[in-house]
Amino acid sequence: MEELINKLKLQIIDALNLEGMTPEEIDNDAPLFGDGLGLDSIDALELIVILDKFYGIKLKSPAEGKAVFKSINSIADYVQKNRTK
Amino acid sequence: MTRIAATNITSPLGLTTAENYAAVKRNETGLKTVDGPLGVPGRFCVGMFSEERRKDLRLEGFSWFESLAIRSIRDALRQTAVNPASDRTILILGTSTADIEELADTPEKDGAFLSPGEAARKIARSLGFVTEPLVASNACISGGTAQMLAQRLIGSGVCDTAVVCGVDVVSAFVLAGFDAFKALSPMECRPFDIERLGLNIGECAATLVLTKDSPEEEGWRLVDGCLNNDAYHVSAPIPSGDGIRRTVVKALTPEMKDKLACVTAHGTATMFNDQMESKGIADAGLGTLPTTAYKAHFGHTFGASGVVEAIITMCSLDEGLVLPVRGFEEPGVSGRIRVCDALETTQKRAFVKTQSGFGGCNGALVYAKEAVPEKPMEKVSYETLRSVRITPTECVLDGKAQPFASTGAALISDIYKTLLADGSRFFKMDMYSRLAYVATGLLVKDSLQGIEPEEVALFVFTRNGSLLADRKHLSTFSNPEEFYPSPAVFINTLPNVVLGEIAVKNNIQGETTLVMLGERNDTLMEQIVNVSARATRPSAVIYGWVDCDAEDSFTAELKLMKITK
Repeated sequence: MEELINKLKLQIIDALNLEGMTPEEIDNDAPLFGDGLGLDSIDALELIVILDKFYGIKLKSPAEGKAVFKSINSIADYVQKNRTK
Repeated sequence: MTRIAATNITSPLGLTTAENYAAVKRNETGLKTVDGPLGVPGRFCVGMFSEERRKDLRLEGFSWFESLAIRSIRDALRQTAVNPASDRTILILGTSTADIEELADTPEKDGAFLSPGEAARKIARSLGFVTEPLVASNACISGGTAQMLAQRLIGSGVCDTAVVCGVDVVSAFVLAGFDAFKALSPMECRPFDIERLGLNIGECAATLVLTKDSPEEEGWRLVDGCLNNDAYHVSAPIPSGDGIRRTVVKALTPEMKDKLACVTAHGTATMFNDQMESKGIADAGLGTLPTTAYKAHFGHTFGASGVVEAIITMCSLDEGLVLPVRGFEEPGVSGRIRVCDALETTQKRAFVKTQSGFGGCNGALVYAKEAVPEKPMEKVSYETLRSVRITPTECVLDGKAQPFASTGAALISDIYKTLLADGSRFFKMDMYSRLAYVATGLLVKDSLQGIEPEEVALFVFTRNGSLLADRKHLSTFSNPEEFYPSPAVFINTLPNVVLGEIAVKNNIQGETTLVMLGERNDTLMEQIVNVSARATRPSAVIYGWVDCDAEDSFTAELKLMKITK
């Protein structure tokens, strides 16, 4: 799980161009949208691409991803249960 | 005021205005469900010409995009005595992505890729135009923007005739991008309906020949219009619909408001657009008029939509009719508007056309079948408040070179980190957008106090626009095995989106317009800004040239001007 979390963070930093961020700076439980990492609706769509590209998980819409994208922990949890690659 | 001397629509529903109107009136659609259109994996409902028809209509030596535009313009010109070879006649294209498909290495490719400005030149030359063509590229409101530029140039006496062609074609580029945005409906779109799932992409060229008005002539006029930015988010409209409300209110005089037969809405059938548009229309006081929309006939034809949809309403009002919205059954928006659900008759001969697009831009254009008094376009005077020039080796602000050791792409990041660092989407932008963002940010920082947000206008001129983002977007899905288009990259392929970024960060709520030219031309830029300032009378205008053809090859030169009325 630890390894998956770290990998996810690196993939997110890369895909969302979080300039100057390191995985250590992202709190596993902090909200990704709004106050936390400050991601927005375009980033949410980008997270859907990450899940598809690296883990073979297809979400239909950002609404479907709402619960999944709460925090790094919630994404990791979902990926572990649903990944096809 | 400008008179509409002739029109054409070239779409899958027909090759003339009459054919298209007849098809819409019969409630036909050009939308079809296609498996893997243009190599994009998946099932899509699109408004495309079939492969055979594309082949038949393709002109030799021209791309599909160019062919569509030329066919449409040629048919419209044929109906008039307008001489394209006059130095008083200009061609203005309204397009969101122009010839982007030619950038990819497709089997259909027919020559080198041309930037939108260069493609416009090729189209203009082939039709005999001798003046420099303009390309308005304001995403989904490009067609409305092109018409407003035309009206200003005619109204101020710069030219007598402006041929406006709104044109966009379906491409893998745009399909992949909107698919990544989860904005596409797998079925025919259903504007304003409770079960709407998103938009369908369509292709079309639609032309208006606009000429200097003469009151004794009959026919339709482009009466007035307003463009603005809602300064909310680059890809989501302000939920209150306030941007649309403001454009509509500003575009309409009380007399004209009473003359309206209907509202021709953007009605893309996305959740967000239709919801906010319903609120904007209702809050502008037009909720009791029938609202119509045609996206379920044509799909979303982007740059063409603001032209083709206006033409269809002119045709229907010519017959005293307001056409029902195809695909609409049960209201699914909270703004109290009256979506037209059955054929209506009317004695009135005027309407307003609304449109909204990525980059936060909104437009409302008013048309009437009568001569109305000319809007005065008095002269304005300018005072340069600030200026900026950024090249790979220097950053000069108000004539003073700024002390940066870095060069090239690093210089832009350093300027941002040192002087702006405003927590924006800067690091998610392509190089052209970063450059425009930084240059404009430096100009307006602490300079707009005391000026109403609606009173600030922004005009950016470019040649290559989003070329680098375009290439990057293509690379995210060029391999069918690795088909993962990125929404964050795609959004930057619209060259006006950075204007939205700037508007959001600096709360600029006036007009934000992007114009693409074949090459830099300062005289032409100043002329366009000047006629726009005379027509819309903002208090401040930011304008200039921003261009980037490689990570380390770019120029931005902009000014902030105060306007004395």
